[in-house]
This record gives sequence, C-alpha cells and structure tokens, in this order.
Amino acid sequence: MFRQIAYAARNSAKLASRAATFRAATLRATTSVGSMMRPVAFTPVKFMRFSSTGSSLTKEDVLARTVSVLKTFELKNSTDKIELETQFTKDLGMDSLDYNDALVALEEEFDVVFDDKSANEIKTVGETVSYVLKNYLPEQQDLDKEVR
Amino acid sequence: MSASRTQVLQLYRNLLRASHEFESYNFREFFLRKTRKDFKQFRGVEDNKKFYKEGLKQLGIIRRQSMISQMYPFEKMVVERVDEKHHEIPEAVEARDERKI
Repeated sequence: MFRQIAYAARNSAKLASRAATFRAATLRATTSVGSMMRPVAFTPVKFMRFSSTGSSLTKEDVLARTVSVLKTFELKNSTDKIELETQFTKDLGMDSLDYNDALVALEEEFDVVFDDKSANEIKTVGETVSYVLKNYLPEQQDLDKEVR
Repeated sequence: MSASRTQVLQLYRNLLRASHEFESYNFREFFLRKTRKDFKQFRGVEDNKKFYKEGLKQLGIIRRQSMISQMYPFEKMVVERVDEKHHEIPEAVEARDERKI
C-alpha cells in the first residue's frame, strides 16, 4: 500500500525541473542498478543535457529480463528460445493463472503496473515488452534511489 | 451469483501483487505458494461465491500484514536481494556496458 501511494505521488509530481534532471543524470552516471559502484572516468556529454534524459532501457534489455523472469516458471518448452512473437497460451502452454503469475512477476521486475484492460488483451511476449517500454518511467528509478 | 472469470483473475492478480509487497522472503514465498495452490484447487468450480469471499478476506489480511511487517523490518537474510526489484542479468549488463563505452 505504501508503494501504491508512493507510485501515485510520483506519477503526479513529474520531475520537470533542471536541478532534478541534472541530479538524476549525475546519479545515473555514477551508480547503476544493483548499486555497484563502477568507476566513471568522465561524465559523457549526453548526460549533461538539461532535458528529459529519456529511458535508458532498450527493447533488448526488456526482452532479456522478461525471458529470464519467464524462465523461472515451469514452461512447456523451457529449452526453446522465447521471442517477441511467443504466445503465452499457445507456445508456452500457460493457462490464465500462470499467465497472471507471469504478469505480476514482470510488474515487479520493471516497476510498472499492468491495468486490467491490457492484462486481458496481451497475448504475446512482444506486447508485454512494448507495454513496459511505454510505461517505464526512468525518473522513478532515480527517485527510488534517493528515497532509500 | 458467483464471481465472473475476469473478477476471479483480477483477484488472483491483486493477491499476487499484495504477496510481493512482503520484504521478508519467508512470508512472501508462503503467501505466493498459498495463493497459487488455493486457486489451482478451485479451478473448475462453478459456484465460487464462498471461495471468492474468502479470497477477498485473504487479500485484506495480506495487505495489512505486509504494511505492518514493513514498519518493523528484520535484518536482511542472505537469500533476500539487496535491491528488491531488479536482478542483474549478465546479457543485459553486457549490453548496457557496451553502450556506455
């Protein structure tokens, strides 16, 4: 419930100020997911732009993480490759309960929320990837780091 | 008047989301396991009104308990990740490093 409240608050308070994006940009340059301190020789020029830095998450990233999440479930064809066109029901042999399980696991992984309409309509892995890319907010990740 | 399929699935999703809120590995895994087992058990049942009500009660319990357990945190066990939400995947880390260089 804390997370829902925080989520709503973050959504309504978009980080639009220069100071905030700059702080976020420097945070991103010096920290990484998993809080490993990697030495950065210099801050690349693109991080110094005073505009929305945009998502650092690419389609390949999302797909790789989605595949690893899905592999933790017992699937029909656990040895085959999971690609964008893989369908949850037909190719992976998941029933509706397994499918919802996978959706919630992906929600946890990417910090997005699948609304009920999308949850009913999504049929392939590619659709989840595009939904994640659409709803993924990079500022939230940095805000999380500051709050914690 | 039993609950429709979409309602049941929505309840299942909310139960899973609430179970994930637990910081502690043991509680989280327990409630996830319990939810999955209960729903699998009642899969084909036609008259699921009683079961649906039980599920709603369970949802309330899990939400309250996860909030309370967050107020009084334990030390993290070895099995719990430091960064709750993300696990690093080697290929993704490599791809990210390639882009930064």
